[in-house]
Amino acid sequence: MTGIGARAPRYEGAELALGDRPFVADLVEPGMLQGALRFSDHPRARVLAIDTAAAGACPGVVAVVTAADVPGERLQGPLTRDRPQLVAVGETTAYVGDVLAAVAAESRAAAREAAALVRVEYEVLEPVADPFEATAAGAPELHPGGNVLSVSRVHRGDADRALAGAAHLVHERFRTQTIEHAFLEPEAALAVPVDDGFRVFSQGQGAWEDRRQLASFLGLPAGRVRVTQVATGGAFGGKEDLSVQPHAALLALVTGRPVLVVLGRRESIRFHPKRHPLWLDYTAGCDEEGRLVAVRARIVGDTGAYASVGDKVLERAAGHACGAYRVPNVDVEARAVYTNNPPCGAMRGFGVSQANFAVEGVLDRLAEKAGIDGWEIRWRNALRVGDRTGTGQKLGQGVGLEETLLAVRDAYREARHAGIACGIKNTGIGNGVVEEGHAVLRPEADGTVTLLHSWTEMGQGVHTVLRQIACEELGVAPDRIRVAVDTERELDTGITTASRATVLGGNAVLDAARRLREALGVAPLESLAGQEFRGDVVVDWTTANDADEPVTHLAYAWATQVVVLDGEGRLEKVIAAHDVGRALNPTLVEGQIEGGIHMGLGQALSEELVLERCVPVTETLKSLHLIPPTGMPEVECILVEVPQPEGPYGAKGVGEASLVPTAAAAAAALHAFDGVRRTELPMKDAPAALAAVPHLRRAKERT
Amino acid sequence: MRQVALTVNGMRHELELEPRELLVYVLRDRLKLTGTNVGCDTSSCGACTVLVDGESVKSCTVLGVQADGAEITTIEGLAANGSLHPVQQAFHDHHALQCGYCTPGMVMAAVSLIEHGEATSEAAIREGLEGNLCRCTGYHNIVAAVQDAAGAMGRAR
Ligand code: FES
Ligand code: FES
Repeated sequence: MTGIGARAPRYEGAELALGDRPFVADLVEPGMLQGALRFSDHPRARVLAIDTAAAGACPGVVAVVTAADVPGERLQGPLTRDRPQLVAVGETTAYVGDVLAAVAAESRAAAREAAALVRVEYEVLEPVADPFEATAAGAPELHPGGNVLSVSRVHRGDADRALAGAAHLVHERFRTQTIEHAFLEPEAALAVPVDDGFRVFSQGQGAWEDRRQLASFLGLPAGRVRVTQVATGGAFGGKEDLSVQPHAALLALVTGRPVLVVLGRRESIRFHPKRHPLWLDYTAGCDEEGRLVAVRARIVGDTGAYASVGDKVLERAAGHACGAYRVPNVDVEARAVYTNNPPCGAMRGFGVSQANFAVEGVLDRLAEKAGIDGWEIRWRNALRVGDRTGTGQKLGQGVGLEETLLAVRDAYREARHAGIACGIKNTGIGNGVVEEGHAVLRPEADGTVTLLHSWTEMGQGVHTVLRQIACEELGVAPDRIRVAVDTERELDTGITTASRATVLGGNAVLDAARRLREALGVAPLESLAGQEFRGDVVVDWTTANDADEPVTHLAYAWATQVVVLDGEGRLEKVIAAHDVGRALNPTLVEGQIEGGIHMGLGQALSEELVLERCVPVTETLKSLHLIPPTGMPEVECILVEVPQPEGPYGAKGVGEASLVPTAAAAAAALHAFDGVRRTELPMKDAPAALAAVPHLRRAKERT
Repeated sequence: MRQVALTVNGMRHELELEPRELLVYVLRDRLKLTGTNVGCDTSSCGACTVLVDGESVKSCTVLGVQADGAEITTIEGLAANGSLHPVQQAFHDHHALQCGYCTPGMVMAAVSLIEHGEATSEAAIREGLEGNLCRCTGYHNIVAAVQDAAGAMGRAR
C-alpha cells in the first residue's frame, strides 16, 4: 500500500530516526566560518555610532560587517520591503531583534564573543508598546507611511439595520495573545561562495522567495544565487520571512569563505515574527430561532516592528470573521498596526484561529439567549453548498461542515462538560493573488525517478504526499522516487503557506505524471532517463474581498471540534472531525490534527510570549508554557471526506484547520464546567490550564 | 586545555578540550556526530539528549571535561549493522516524527526509559518524557511508539 489513501511512512523517516538526515546546522564546508549577530539593545533607539574595532581585533575573527557593507537593497520583506536586514547608523531601531552587525570567525565561541564586543552608541527613545498607543494623537511615526500598515474591510448587506431588528444581540470584546512558534530547530543558514555567486542552504519556507530577496540584498541577478532547501525542523509560519540567510551571505561575500550562522534559542525568540495578538470587538445578532442576521467586528492587530505578512494576516482575520456560518449582513474592519514589539506575521491559523475564538464565543452567547445548545445553533447556521461565506463567496461543491457536525453531535451532548466549535480555513492565499504549482518528474538512468517541486518539507509531510501521488500515477514503488527542492530548477511558487502545498503541488505532480505516463506508453522508464516531464497549474481566478462576485479562496477546509473536561475541569478528550476532502495519507492527516490540537490547546490555555515594554521576557522554551506530554488529552480524529473538485483526488488543505476551532471549544467547555465566560487568551487561570501545564501551577503557587 | 578520554558509541577518543566546551558541541563539532541536535542550549527541550554511562543526559548541560572517562551513546550508536534499533523502528512505524528535529533526543530518552524499566505504562512514559519537547506531533504517536518498542524489547530479552 503506497498510493493514495495509504498510511505510507514519512519520506526519509528512517534517516531522521537514525539521526542521519542533516539539518542546516549540521552542514560543514571546507574553510567554513561561523557567524554571529549583534542585536539591538533597545526596541527603539537612534543608532549614533557602531564601533567594530574591538570585535574585529578578537582572535579568530575574520570579518565584522554592518549596514555599510551591504552591496544591494538593505530593505527586504515578503510583501512590503520595510525591514533593514542590518540597521545603519543614523537610523532608528524598530525592535530588539534588529541586527546591527554580524561577525564571522573561526569558531562559534569567537564569533559570539566578538559580536558582544561590537560597541553601539544609542539615543534611547521611548518604544511604542501597543497598537492603541501607536494610533493615539502624538504617537511617533514608526514607518514613513504612518503606523497603520493596513485596513481590511468586508461589507455585505446592512449590518446596522439587521442588528437593530435582531431578536437577540450580543456585544463582546475578545483579546488574544502573542505566541512564539517554538519550532524546535532555531534559525540557521549556510552561504557558500561559488564561481559567480552564492549557494545558500536554507531551512526557510520558500526557497524562491528567499532567493529573490537575497539576490536583491546582494545586488546580484537572481540566477547567481542558488537556494537549496535542506530539512526544516519545524516552522509553522515562523520561517516565511528571511532570517539569517542574508547575514550568512553577506559574511560569505566579504570573507570569500563559506559561513554558517545558527541562532541560539534566546536570539530566535527575539528575532522572528510571531502570532499576532488581536483585539476583537464583536456585535452580532440572530433571530428568534438563533439564525445569525448580522455580524459587526472591529479587529486590531499588533503587527509589531515590520510588515512581514501582517496585512495578509489581518485580511484573513477579516475574511474569516464570520466563521463557518451563513451571515447575510456583514460589517468587518481589521487593522494591522505597527509598534516596537517583535514583528508579527505568519503562524499556523494566520489570523483565523484568533477571529474564530471570538465568533464562536459570540455564537455560544447567542445560543444561550435563543435557548438552544451549542450544537444546535451551529447546525442552524452552518455553511452549506450554495451558501455565501463571510466575504460573499458562493460555495460550490466540497463543503463538509454538516458532516463534521453530525460526527460529534452525540459525543458533545453526552459529555458532562463539553464545548463545541466549528472552523473554516482557507486553502490557498486567494484574495486575487495568482497561485501556481509546478513539479518535474525526471526518470534517471538507474530506474529511479526524481521528483522536483517547490514546497518546504517542515514536518507536515509534503514530500511524502507528493511522492505518494507520483507512486499512484506511475505505479512505481516509493523507494524508487527521490524528492528535491532547489532553485536550480525554475519552479517558483512562492512561500509554503496557507495550507496549499498539497493542493497546488499535488495537481502539478498529477499533471507531470500524466505527461510521463504518455511517454511511458511508448518507451520503458529507463529509456527516458534525463528527460524532464513538467507539470503546471495556475489558479488565477480568486478575487479581492470587495469584488462584486467574490471568489475569495480556491477551497476551504471545514472542522468541528469538541473539548471534553473531566469532573475537575481538566482536559479529558478532544474530538476532532475534519473535512479534508480526501485523506491522501490518513496517518499524516491525523498527525497534523494531533499536532495542531496540541498547539491549539496551548493557544487556548497556556502559551504566551510575554513582553515588557516591547522586550520579550519569556526567552526560554520552558517559560513559553507549551503543553507537556502529560498535559495532552486523548485526541479522537474523525476524517470526513467530501471531495473538493479543485483538489488532487478531492483533497483540501488540513495543516492549519487543525487548530482553528480548538481555543473556542476549550473556552466553551470551561464555561460548561464553571459557568465563567472567558474572553482572553490564554485562559491560564482555568483549571484545565493549571492541570495541563505544571509550570503554570507552580507559578501560581508562588504568587 | 585538558586531556579527556571519552568512549562514544564504543569508540575511544582522546581529546584536548577547553574547560568550557559543552558536551553537545564536543559530539557535534569535534566528533562530527551531528545527529544530536541543539534546540535551546538552556536545558529546556531535550533535543540534545544522549546516554552517559547509561543515563539519559541533556548534553547541553554537561561540560565535555565532566564526561572524562564516560561511556557515551548517541543516536548514531543505536542502530546495529544498518538496521534500526527497535525504538527508532517504532518511531518510524508510528509516525512519531514529523519534522524530526526532536527525534534523536526523544529516541535516546525513550531508550533510557525502557532500559531502566520505567516505560511500564502510558502515564509513566508521558512522565518520563516530560523533559523532551516536540512541537509537531502532540506526543500521542511518540508515546505509542515507545510503548510498542518497550514491548518489543521486553520480548527480545
Ligand atoms: S539543547 Fe539541550 S536541552 Fe535543549
Ligand atoms: S517532530 Fe518536530 S519537534 Fe518533534
